[in-house]
Amino acid sequence: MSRVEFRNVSKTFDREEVIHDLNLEINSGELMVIVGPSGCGKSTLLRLICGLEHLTRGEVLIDNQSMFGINPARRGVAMVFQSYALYPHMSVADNMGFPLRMSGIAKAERAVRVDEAARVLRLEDFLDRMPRHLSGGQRQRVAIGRAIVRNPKVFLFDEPLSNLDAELRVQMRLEITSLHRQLAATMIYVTHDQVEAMTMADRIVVLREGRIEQVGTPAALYQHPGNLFVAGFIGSPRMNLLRAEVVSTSSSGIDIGLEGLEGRILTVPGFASLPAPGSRLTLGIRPEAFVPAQADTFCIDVDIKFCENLGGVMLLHAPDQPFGSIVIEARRTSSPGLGKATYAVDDSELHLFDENGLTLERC
Amino acid sequence: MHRWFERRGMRAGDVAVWIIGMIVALLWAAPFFWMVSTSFKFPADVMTETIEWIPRRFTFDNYIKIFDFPIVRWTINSLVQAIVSTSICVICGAMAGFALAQLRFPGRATIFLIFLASIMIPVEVSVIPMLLAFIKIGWASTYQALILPTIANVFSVYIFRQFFLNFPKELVEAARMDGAGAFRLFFLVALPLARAPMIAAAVIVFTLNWNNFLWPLLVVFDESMKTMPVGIARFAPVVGTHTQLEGYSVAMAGVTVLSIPSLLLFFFLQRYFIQGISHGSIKQ
Repeated sequence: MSRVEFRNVSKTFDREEVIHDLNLEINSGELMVIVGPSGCGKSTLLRLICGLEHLTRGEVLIDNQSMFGINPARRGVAMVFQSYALYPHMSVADNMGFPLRMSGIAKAERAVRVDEAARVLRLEDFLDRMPRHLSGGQRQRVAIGRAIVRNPKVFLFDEPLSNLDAELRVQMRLEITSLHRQLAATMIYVTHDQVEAMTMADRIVVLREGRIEQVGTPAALYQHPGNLFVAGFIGSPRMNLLRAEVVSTSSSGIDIGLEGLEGRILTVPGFASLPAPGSRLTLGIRPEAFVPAQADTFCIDVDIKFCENLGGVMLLHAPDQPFGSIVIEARRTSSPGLGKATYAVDDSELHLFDENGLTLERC
Repeated sequence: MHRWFERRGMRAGDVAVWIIGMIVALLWAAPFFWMVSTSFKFPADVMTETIEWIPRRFTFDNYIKIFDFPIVRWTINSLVQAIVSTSICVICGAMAGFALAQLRFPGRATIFLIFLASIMIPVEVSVIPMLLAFIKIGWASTYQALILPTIANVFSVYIFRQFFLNFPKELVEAARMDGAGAFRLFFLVALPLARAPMIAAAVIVFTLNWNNFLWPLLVVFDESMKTMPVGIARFAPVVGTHTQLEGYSVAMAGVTVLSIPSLLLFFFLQRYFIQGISHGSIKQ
């Protein structure tokens, strides 16, 4: 188990800075997921840890030891690549034993360690097969096995499930999570899929354009997004974001008017700091925060144009409404179907963001 | 006719290309066909007023006559020279190609440019100084004299460089993470996956070496160290005489035998050869 730390890390490619003065601590034994849109620098962070890329500025430390000038093979990290990167001309056993062979470990001990990893990953029956004769999931397990045999301080996963089909992805997600519990190892996992991030992570780092937007547990990021980007990125379907303006503020909350719903006031309670009347805000409503219309509550009328039946719940799409586009998550049994409908919003589930996109803190 | 083309999935435009292709192919094949045909002719039938593509009278005497010369010895010399030289050339070419494609070092692009530029220097420019050097160090008429100048081949380097440029980056990075240095990365991971370019380079270099004429002609003074192409040249020794006419069909029999190894190599390995030339990718 090991702790990884980024200290004021910057990385430049061809004079373009892609990681900007980044600071991050990954605790020992933690499964940290780095998530963000394509090109945000998440894979670069992994490559900086394992030494496949050189730092432009700053320091990467593993167990408080600077990794400056240390060869990738001597850092005690193992990486699982997106494309598996199995050696096509070697059997499963040879692939898994390759790092041990490179370390000069005797054949007999290699066999023992490969067998042990194969048992953990249920690959015992495939040790003599060539990678081309394995399914995508089995190949991924071999790639993980090649990492396990090295007994590394830190496991790095670079979008390891993105080449698998949806069903296998769910299965492998569970397997990696269970492996993390079993090995109690520090794991850093990069993905652009926020569902993977939410389901697997102890903590999530949301990255955008080489800067950290927010770090926290999946629940914290979902319930208390620090800004508009995180609010929009975490959660599927994404949070509904509507333009609003502060009408007045009082001890009971902030009274806001929604653009396109003139003359209607929504009071959002429980904020620590109150913005000045006239300030422009963004109102965030999670799809599941819509509830059936009730008397004496703020209700909105929507025209539902599409329904997606997910089994237990329905996703109701109401695009191009006067106040913006809305997605509502409704229980299948209470779904009104297509056409006009009225929904109330649960005011404890509302989020407000100021003009700079930062969250207004609740008290 | 229309149906014949249709069955082969050819359109009107393809037919013109096909006809031009066939004409070019026939032009290329004509000397080879003439060589084989002449090797079965009697000396008197070689030069006739009308071209005889297929001999009126067949004889195998020419193939028997070639054994009047030390052809077995020449074949052994040619094989030693071609095999040793090809093996070294392919390994060196693969290493150079891998370094130029995958390793980062100052002057990499310049070195590759120098490699390519060296193609433009005619062999005849360097052959005399090289011959004098070999004579001076006492290596004339030796295997090392036959082999050493042929172990560096730019085409081989080029084939491997192009192949390794498309080599999966993740495999190289995984091997580095697993602790493989440049040599182990090359010999344990890269080279075993480079079968197609290896075969393409081997076929090309072997054929060049097997057919090499000028350098062995100059550097070998001893009859027993001659290679096949140089030896066969003796079959038709005096230009414009009756001896030359008689030796012509024997020479054609010798050249036909000489071309067999290259043909067999290409015939059995053409699938890999084409893959190697077209830089086939690695299937994981």
